[in-house]
Amino acid sequence: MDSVSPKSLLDFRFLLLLSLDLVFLLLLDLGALLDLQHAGLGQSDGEVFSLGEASLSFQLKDAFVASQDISSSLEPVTGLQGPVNRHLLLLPTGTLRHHACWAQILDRIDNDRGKSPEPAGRNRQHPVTVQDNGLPCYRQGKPAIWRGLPGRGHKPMIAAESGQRMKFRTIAILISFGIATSIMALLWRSPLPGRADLVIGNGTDPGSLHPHRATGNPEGRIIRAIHEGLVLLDPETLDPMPGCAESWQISADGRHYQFQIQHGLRWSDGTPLDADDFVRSWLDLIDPLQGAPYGDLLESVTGARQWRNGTGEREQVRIQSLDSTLLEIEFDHPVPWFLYLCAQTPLQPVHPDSAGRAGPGIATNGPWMLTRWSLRDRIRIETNPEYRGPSRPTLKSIDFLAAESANTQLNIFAAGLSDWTVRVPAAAIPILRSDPIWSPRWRADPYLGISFYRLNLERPPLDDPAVRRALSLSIDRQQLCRDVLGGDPEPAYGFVPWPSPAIERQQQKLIDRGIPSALTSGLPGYRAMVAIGSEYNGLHGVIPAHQVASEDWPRLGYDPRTARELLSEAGWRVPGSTEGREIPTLEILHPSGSTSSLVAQWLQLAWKRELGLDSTIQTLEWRSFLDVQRAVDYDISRSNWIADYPDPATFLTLFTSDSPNSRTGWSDSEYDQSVALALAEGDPELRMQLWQQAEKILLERGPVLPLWSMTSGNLVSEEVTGFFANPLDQHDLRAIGRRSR
Amino acid sequence: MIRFRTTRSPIPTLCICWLLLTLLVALITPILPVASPDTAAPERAWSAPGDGHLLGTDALGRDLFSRILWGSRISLACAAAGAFTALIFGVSWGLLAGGGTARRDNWMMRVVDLLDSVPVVFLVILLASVARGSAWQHAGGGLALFFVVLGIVYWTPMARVVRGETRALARREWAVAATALGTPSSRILWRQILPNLIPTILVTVTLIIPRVLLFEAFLSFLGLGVQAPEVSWGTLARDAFEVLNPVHTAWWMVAFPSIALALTLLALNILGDALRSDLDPKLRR
Amino acid sequence: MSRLLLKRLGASLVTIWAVFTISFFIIRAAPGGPFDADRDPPPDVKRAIEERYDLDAPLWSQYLAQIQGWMMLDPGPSLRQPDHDVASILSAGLPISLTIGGLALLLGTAVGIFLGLIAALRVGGWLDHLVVVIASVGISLPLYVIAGMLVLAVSFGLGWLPPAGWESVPSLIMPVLCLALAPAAQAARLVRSGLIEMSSEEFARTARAKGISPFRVLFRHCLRPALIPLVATLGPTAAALLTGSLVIEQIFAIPGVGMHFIQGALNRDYPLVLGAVLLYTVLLQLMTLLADLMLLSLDPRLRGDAA
Repeated sequence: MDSVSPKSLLDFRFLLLLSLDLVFLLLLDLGALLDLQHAGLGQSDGEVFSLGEASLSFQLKDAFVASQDISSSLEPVTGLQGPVNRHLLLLPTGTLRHHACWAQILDRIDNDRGKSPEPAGRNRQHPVTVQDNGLPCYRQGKPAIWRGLPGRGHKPMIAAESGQRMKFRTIAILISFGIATSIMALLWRSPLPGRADLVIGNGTDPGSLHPHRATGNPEGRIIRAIHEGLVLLDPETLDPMPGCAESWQISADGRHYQFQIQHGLRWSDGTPLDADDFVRSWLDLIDPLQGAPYGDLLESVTGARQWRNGTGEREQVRIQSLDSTLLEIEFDHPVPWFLYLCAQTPLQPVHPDSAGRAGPGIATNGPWMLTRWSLRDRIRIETNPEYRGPSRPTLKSIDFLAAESANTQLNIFAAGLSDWTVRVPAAAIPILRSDPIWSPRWRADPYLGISFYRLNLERPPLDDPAVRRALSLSIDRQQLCRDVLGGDPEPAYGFVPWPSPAIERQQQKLIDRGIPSALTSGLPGYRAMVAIGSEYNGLHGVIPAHQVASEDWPRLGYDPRTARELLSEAGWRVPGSTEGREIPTLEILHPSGSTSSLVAQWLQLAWKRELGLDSTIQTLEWRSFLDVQRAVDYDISRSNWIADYPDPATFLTLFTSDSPNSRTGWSDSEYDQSVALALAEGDPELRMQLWQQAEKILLERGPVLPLWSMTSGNLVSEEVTGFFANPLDQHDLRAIGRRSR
Repeated sequence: MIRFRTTRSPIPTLCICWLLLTLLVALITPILPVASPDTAAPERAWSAPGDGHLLGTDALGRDLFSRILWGSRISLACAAAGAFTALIFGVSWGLLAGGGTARRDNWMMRVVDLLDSVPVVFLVILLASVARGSAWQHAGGGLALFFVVLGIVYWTPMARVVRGETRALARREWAVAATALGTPSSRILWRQILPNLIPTILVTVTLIIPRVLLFEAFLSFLGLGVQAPEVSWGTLARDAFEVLNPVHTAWWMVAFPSIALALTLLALNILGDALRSDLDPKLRR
Repeated sequence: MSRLLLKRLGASLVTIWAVFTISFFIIRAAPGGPFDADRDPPPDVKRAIEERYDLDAPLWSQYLAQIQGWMMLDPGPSLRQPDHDVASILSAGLPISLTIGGLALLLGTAVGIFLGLIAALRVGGWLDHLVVVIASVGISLPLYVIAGMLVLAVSFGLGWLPPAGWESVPSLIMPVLCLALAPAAQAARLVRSGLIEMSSEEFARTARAKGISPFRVLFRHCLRPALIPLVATLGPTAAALLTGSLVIEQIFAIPGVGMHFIQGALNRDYPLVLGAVLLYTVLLQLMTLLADLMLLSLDPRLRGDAA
């Protein structure tokens, strides 16, 4: 069903089904309604009399004796003249029991009625039925159920044989059921022309498919397929390749970019696409009034910050089209990751008529277009006939399934209904890695994300650096990764994930599992820093990671003995001794989710065992958790951070004093300065060194407890080709194909 | 001992025995020589029954048998919380509504209808977040709040049943006669009507408790239920669901908690039905 | 009777309004907002986003705006999925939930009545107990455990049915089956106890004395009054079933309405969750009204009050 239409409540199929369902239910009560109607409207020709107690029988008996005609027998009692036809006599309780003559009277009424022989079977009519104050009674073995109670006055009533009523009701039910089922069958006949070329279990129904509003990966996957930015990324190396732009030039200082846009590009509605569309889209992205969540990605464009502060104007932002195919952009400081950004979701061009919405009716410019969005079911994209860009994808149609539960996604994949799923339940991962049936399909590739705990340095005992180091040293991250996470992620001892020793180990794991894909490095050119235990090869404190051999990596930060020494030197009590202050209880805060819960419990046990530290675990639902974290009302709280682009800046700018996402209350002017210097530096080598210094400060006195470098988890069917590992888990659908079924 | 006249079979008595056994085990669990439910031995995670672990281990290597035993404590506490609130609030509300004027009855039942229509999840989220930072948060190990939620949700069925019965009873001749004699209505309600309701109340309680336990399991499914490191049958059911996939089927994690839960709930349901048939005054001769 | 209906209608409207108001203020009181994320935009951008959806206005004016929106049947876009309005989201899922819920209601009630009948025929015997146990199994375990086991057994063990999805008739069978377990259990128990009660009444014993077979006595004469307690609870049961079940929809990937109640609350998607609450309440009032009409036909004693 199309959903981008106002007043979809008037969708005829919905109305039809709703009304038919109501009719169906009403038909079930049609019998009752008819009865009540008759009770109210007096369409019968009978009457009901409620007779008094004692005097009745004598009167009637006498009258009966007096006259053989039943109507004249009843006349003095009921006052009714004429033939006794369709009458109901209501007696007080117990009258029947006490006056056996009634049976005779009733039989006489029956025989009296028709001089003609009684017709056989169900068509026999009982014009007179006697009721004993409302309860059903029996005559000649046939039940006579009546309907309704008369009121004070005379309300006409029909008493019909129950068999007829039952028949009517059964027919009504069957008819309405038949109607309802045929309508339901109609609804399923929705035009779903077979299975798409590729079916992806996308993890959730996307939020918004508008490039400026989208925030997550499920949205991003679809948007990057139906839109095309200036640049595309090589599926393996993430190097920039021509997209809408045929070529580009970067100035020597890294602050000016010029793009030549291909001629003849079109939107999916046929209108032409040129540089002005990019200018408008990017300015809208930066526009503070439009509130794009990722607008800050372009904040370093000259003039952007002023505009967002309110001190500048839209026209002063240095994004310009020199003519219809030449685009120019200028930055305040070098942004080496800008080409990467051009391929990302927020920087995709947006059609002028989109008005902030996306959907099957809105034009886009990618090799596919959105043809169907069945809410919470699937999204289908199909080949865009107006596409004029450089990609030559092989898939003609792609479905994105919106199943939410990880178990369901796995079931769908296991049943062969999807070819690639992005979410699996954590409990399945150990088997997926090791079982020979599943292992070739399970891709756990390094993902530029770090899983860590935020620390609140205002709360004791976390204000003591010795305690912080002890907490870190007493965690065996290797064991944590193996036990709780299934063994794919690697321990992390620094804040920028996947330094070279970790990458080497990950490569070895893949080789051991027989996965042939080549693996790229985590962050090209960056040599991360790591905080180590007591000492390594004569080095102490925070050292460059590449100086660590990969076999030493797992145990690098695990040294409980040193942890206990640090604590006792700082005056805290350690297990096995009675001197020193007792360490206050820590509260471990985490959002609901099985992995977070297991990690928290694991930490609780590890700290108790190694340091004698007591901790409590507090779980909150996701948004309540974010609220508490923002208010810095925690001791330690679970966190992840995923790279926006492949550069250390995306990690290390998180904890500057003016970052909106710090959520730790930590502010260090030396760190701020260090970050600012690194951001402004043009020379790549020097920049990397400056970032290393910033990371060193963060690890020495910052509010982080790094745990592991994240891995992406994808289950990919063996028939899918072109699926390469890359550290940003961006698998361009243009490169993906399918072997014949 | 109650003899079950209607069914004349031993099954309801068996149910009572099972429930008493569960209650007993739950109470004495702390002194039983079983492993602690918290002892994580991650190297033995997901091990099948046998070899030191009677019923196997879970994701962190914790013994399943002891988790079931300890879980029964929390689950029964939840049941008690639901039953208690139903008894206190539900009965009083129903009595006052059924025994009062039509107007009061109408308004009181409107409130009940209203409360039934408001989605419970809102209340759960709200209460959990409101309590943070206050003394409530850690009361009873964080569970006190949870019990409050259960109570809020489950007193309404009791209120409805009690109100219906009270209405019927209040129109009986002896109640009318008592009013005519000048007995204050509160006395009629509490001294004369209430004792007649005890069978119904008993039946309703045995039928509310399974719903409470299933609701607790549902909240665990959403991630809003009893939180680690506390363990309850609801969390065990949630853990069981995690392994109900074709890749990793740790059957012991599904079978044993399910058997424990199913037997208990079945016992409660069967008992409730038997009590209902047995305590029906119409059958008394 | 029309006066009765009007009075009921009025009471229903008041209830709907009250539920709406209470839900509105409760969900707004919960901490966190719809646009909170791990990666928040700068505060002024967040403010701009909230302004776009009028979330910065005072609470009272937002409340009135919502009421007005719903009276025009135009409540505006969902906060989590701003490409769609709440009306289209709900109307996309409602037919599906109605289908599954309606089938589950029919199946569950029919099977439950049948089971109750069998149990009442042989009260106290082994068949009675067997039937009660079978009927109660559906409510003795959390629904997701039963559904998970069923999927594993039928889809992967036997390979008969697809494990999830909304594509064809076979993919319907398991969700309807799981959803029907609870009404079947309730129907079986209520009908069984009702039949036991009715079969000790005078008219039933009279009928038996006349030589009518036990089955006929139960089925044709006792069943109707025994259905009264079942129909009394049919209203809320039907409403709950027809609005789907979160568990079933999640496990079987059914795009119905049930998810929105809970997911909407967790996502703080205020218009959507209020829409879901309204939908549920309206359906509840409607189903209760229909059930009361059915009751009027089944139980003659009520009609004196009705008039």
